[in-house]
Amino acid sequence: MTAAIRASHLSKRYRATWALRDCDLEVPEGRITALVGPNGAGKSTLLKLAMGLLSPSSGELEVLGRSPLSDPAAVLAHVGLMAENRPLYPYFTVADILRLGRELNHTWDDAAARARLRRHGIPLDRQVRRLSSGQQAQVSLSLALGKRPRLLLLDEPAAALDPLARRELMSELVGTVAADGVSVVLASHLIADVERVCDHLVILGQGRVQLAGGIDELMEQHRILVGPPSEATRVAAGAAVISARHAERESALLVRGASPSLPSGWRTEAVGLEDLVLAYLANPARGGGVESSPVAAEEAS
Amino acid sequence: MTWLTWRQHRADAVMLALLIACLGVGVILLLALYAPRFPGMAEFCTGGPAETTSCTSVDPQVNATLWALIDEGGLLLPVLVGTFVGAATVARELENPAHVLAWTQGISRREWFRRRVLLLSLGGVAAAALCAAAMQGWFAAQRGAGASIWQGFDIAPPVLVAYTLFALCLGTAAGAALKRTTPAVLLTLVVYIAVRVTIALLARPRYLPPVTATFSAVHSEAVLAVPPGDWPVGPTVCVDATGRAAGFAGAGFCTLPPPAPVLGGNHYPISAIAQVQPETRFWLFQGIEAVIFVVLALALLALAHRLVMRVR
Repeated sequence: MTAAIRASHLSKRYRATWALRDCDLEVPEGRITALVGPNGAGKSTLLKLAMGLLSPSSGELEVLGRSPLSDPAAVLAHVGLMAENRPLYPYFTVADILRLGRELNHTWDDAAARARLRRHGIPLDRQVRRLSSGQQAQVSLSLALGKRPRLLLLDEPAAALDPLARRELMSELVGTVAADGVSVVLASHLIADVERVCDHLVILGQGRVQLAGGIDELMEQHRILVGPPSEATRVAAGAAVISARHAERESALLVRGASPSLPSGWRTEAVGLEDLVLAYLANPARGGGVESSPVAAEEAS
Repeated sequence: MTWLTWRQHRADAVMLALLIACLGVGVILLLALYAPRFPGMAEFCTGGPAETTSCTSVDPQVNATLWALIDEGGLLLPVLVGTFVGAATVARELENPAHVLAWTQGISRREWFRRRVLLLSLGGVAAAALCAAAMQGWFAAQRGAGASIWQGFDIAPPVLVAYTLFALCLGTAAGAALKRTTPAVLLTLVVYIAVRVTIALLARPRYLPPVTATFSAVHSEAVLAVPPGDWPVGPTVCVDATGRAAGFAGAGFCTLPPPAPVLGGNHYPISAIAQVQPETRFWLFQGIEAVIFVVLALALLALAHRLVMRVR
């Protein structure tokens, strides 16, 4: 499988703070990849690095096989970005924004962009500053899609969208990927959206990749072990524990890899995506998961 | 890119067009109003009676005011181009996250910058050329009325175009360095004025070594001055026939004491020895100063380009 984005030892430092630290990452082509992580995890930084808006402090980054810094024209021509705060010129009309898209892009599908905006009921003659934030998001997305990108980077696309528009957007993304083989990276907090449309997952935490892989494979690799607390320490010792919850009667251990032989009273449960993501986000030290020492992260509940 | 640049700067273009139109209309009106009232103005002043003071004083106060207004209009043009167009063109993109819009489309940042600056420069040169043309119409009439060609140095076409390019590039570099429009405007203003004043006062009189010129007159006039085509740049010495200092020396003129008793039936001769840049050097100096400012502009442009490429 070729990679839409490939990073090795990628780091980005803003003065004293590391936004990304030693990231190794591969985003597959032709799939919808979810990029999840708490605020400040480095999601936007990664997307900006991919667009050449930032330069890495160290490490390598390839987007569609090219470097965004040394070969910007080749990358920019094929990558569309919907940036986090929807940068648009406030005094431009929507039609002006489309004209900008036509003028600054070698490949531009004007008819599709117009049709898309019409479908969402956005008047072309209105100034951007007079649009609602949801409409601005649609204009921003139309601009990103209008250049017919091979890779589409979306930074919190659903923020400011109502639930209906969000669902439409998600199904539109699935349709675009299916029709044109576009690769999508979706940075999002909304795990429900991720669960609906994404097939690949990258969890960023504290500037590092916590977990990456196909969602189906990840779900297979992880399971929850549930049983009486008295045996919890022994069970935890034999497994790669990502997170542990102990209640009065029951302990629940989220583990990665094969489950150990379980004492009586213990059972295995499948893990949900949300639980999986939250477990990794809550325990960023577990980055890389299996390799780190299998000590239970004690967390009373 | 042409359309986008126009769309983002059309308000500036309208403002500059208005300024130039005002200058043009002002000049035409003045010439139309004054010429018929004083048909032989030029001859009247240069070859006419000794009362030269009445020449430029068609209506002395009105004339002085209009002169100042039109002159300043011409001096203002580069400043407006530098602050409104230059300082804004990069800074406005960087100060809100709009650069994320322009720099994530299909053309590279390098191309965006180059095309943009090229278009703005062409616009600036056109504006400066138009403005200079209007100024020349005005200045021709002033020269007809006895003004020195050197008085119009700052509004002659070569330097006005060069000043405008310099201001544009200065503003662009300031905007790229400070990333905010208002501080960039202030920096542009301060540096532009400082550079212009420094070069005009310190460098311009020294582009070529001045020529020592001696003007003699018979001591019957109150003032002995160098001809209006020459630009006095050094001290002027006033001496009488015996080589003794006589009268009061100013820059390019001597104010003489009341006539001494007649010697041998003649007034005794007086000489003013002045350091001047002669009229023939005017266009050479224009060229030198224009080249200086164009070179400065190119250096600033290279700096601005580096800064823009380094915003990462």
